[in-house]
Amino acid sequence: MARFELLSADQHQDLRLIAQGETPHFTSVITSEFFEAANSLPIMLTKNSETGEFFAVVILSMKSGEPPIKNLAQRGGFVPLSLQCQGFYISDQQIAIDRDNPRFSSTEGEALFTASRQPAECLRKVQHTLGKLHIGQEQNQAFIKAMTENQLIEPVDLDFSFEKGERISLKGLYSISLDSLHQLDDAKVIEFFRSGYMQLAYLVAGSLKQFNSLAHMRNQALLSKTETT
Amino acid sequence: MKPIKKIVVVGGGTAGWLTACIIAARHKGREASGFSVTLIESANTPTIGVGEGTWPTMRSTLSRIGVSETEFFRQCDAAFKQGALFSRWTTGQASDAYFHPLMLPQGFSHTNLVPHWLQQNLHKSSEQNFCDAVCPQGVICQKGLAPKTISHAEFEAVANYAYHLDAGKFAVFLQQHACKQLNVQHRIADVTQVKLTDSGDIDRLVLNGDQEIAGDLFIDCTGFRALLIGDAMQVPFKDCKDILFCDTALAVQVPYENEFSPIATHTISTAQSAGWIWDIGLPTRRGVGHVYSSQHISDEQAERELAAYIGKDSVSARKIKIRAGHRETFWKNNCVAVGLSAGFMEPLEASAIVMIELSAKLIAEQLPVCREVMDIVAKRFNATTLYRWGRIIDFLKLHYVLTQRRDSDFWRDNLDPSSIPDRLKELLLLWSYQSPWFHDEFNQVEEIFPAASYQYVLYGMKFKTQVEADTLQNTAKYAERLLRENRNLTEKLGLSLPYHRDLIMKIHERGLQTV
Ligand SMILES: Cc1cc2nc3c(=O)[nH]c(=O)nc-3n(C[C@H](O)[C@H](O)[C@H](O)COP(=O)(O)OP(=O)(O)OC[C@H]3O[C@@H](n4cnc5c(N)ncnc54)[C@H](O)[C@@H]3O)c2cc1C
Repeated sequence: MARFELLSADQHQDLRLIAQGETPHFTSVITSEFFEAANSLPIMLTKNSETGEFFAVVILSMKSGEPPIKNLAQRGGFVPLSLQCQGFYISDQQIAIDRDNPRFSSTEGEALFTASRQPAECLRKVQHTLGKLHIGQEQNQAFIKAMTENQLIEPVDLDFSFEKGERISLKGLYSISLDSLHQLDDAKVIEFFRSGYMQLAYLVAGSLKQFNSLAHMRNQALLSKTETT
Repeated sequence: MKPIKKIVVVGGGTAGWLTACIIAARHKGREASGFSVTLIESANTPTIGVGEGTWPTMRSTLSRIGVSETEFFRQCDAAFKQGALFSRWTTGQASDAYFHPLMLPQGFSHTNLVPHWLQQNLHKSSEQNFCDAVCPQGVICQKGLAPKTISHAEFEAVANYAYHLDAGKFAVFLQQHACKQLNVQHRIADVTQVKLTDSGDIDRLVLNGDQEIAGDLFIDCTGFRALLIGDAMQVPFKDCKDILFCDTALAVQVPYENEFSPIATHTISTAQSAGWIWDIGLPTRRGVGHVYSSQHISDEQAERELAAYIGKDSVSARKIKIRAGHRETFWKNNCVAVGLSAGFMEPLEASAIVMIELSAKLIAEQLPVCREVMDIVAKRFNATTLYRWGRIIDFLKLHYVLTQRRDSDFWRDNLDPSSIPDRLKELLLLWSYQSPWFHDEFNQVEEIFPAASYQYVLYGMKFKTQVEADTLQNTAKYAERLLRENRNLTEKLGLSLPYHRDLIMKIHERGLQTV
């Protein structure tokens, strides 16, 4: 459960932030992160269950509850902005936090506020990142709108078989259809090229291949586990 | 060779526009070679303006003609329909009701659950109704939940669904789509004369007394008027009022208490003294109507029953005469009838619009290439369509022959053996020993009412089929599993689906994705 509170120096003077939270199954990414993300992780589109609207995510593990398959080094140091802001939200121009997020502690981590009740370095970073995310959201929406309007989004079936007959199928994920992309008329192609959407679309479509490496690595991990036991 | 390229549809009601859209969409891309669909409608003869319940076929029809489901919801005041609740049909008591949902029973394609359910209920003091035992949709309807969520794509479903819609708005919606997207030519004019060739084909239509329009195939969608198939082609009408007695309808619109009132996600059909009342929930209002036999009660009595249903002292309803029956043939020479001009039976199972869809689809798919082969296509069309009307008659009559009501002449007369078609009598005898399942009885492609529908009505109305316990052993385990899975699914969907009105509001606000 989440417990949201507006962040204030008064109330959260003693609160500390642990640098890294738990890594989820997937996390949202903005278009400015696509280049870096696509190098190591699949970028997928999925629907917001409240609104049905698409948003972009990177897949970090094959199953919720499992640790990320690639560590920081294997991701080339890539930490999605949304993870950097884990536990923080924007609510009516103000920063809110989810007190129940395990990143918040009264003993461990860096203090959020200085003794003089000013935002400390770590909170400044979060503020800055939240700002980037906020702007990024609008760009994401514009990109997704362009993809939806031109019917470029397609559902993908992802079924994986692992050691010992384990099967995992990921549901509700979408990508950009290369076939549909190739059918765009010339004017659209130029428009998308100029706006950068063409590259973004290819990055999304191409990053689908990263599932192979995720699945392979997970299988290797399973195998080495079996060997040791 | 005389090619068939110019299609002329007469009539701009639900039948005319749906047929024009279905044919134009199917033959899109042939315009360059001279193919065209023209629709002529009169400004002086209004459309019937009722007919608000559909079948799930409408989902594939809308998707095939290329409309957006989101726009359809926004512009046609549409709602989800997940079946029908039949109230007071069996015993007439206030507590007497059963669902005819649109989902098939669990595992329907491999196992018939009916005998298993019957067998289980023999040994139980309180019986679980058939619908709830085999599918989750009755519970979904009762809870007022939608058949999907906002993250399901257009036309995608968790629970099978059809629509309730505003008939007037639907015709306008289809018209815009037909003219803007499908290149259907629209002419507003009265057909005043039909000119035939020597061979009896329609050569041309005279419009407004002075203009003429020629065509290769003429589709009669002129409603009860039956201008082409009846007047011009002289195809006789085959009455079936000796089987189905209802001949009059009173229709009203009822406002909701407020804008948040729940919208029923099923048609409610409540039996009366000499007919029944339909109740269809749209987002902005309910459409309610009394369908009755004027042989059995007076219009005043029918009005009183309708007023009592709505909870008022009196109503001012629109009266519509209906004539139960259909044409002897539907396609004669180069003229084919679709919609009310082809036939009509009381709207107890919303069979009219689905017949329009199926007929138009058949015409579009089998469209003869040239006049030389048209009679062959016509013959096949007629055989299929006649079969379908026959099945509609059987299925509607089924609701009346299973009743235990004896409280008025209407219900008693319905049980008169001379009013029951032989085929239905035979089936009822068969079904008292073995339950209907799709393999045995229903082999026609695109059967209007699948065997599952018969199961829901038969066992909803407490029909008794004998069960030989030893015939069940083979499938007992599997049936157990299916029944258990259904309980789980019912619970899961009950928790995860949104309220009907909430989802419709969200569709208006946000729209559904196309994928
Ligand atoms: C009481 C009632 C309830 C119903 N409920 C349901 C239901 O729940 N579900 C369902 O599926 N169906 C239902 N129906 C049936 C449904 O309403 C019709 O099948 C559907 O509306 C199709 O009608 P239509 O287009 O054939 O005829 P109409 O709507 O009557 O259209 C006839 C058209 O022909 C045109 N026309 C007539 N004469 C001429 C002429 N001389 N020149 C040019 N144009 C002409 C008219 O202008 C009009 O556009 C119901 C019907 C009734 C009566």
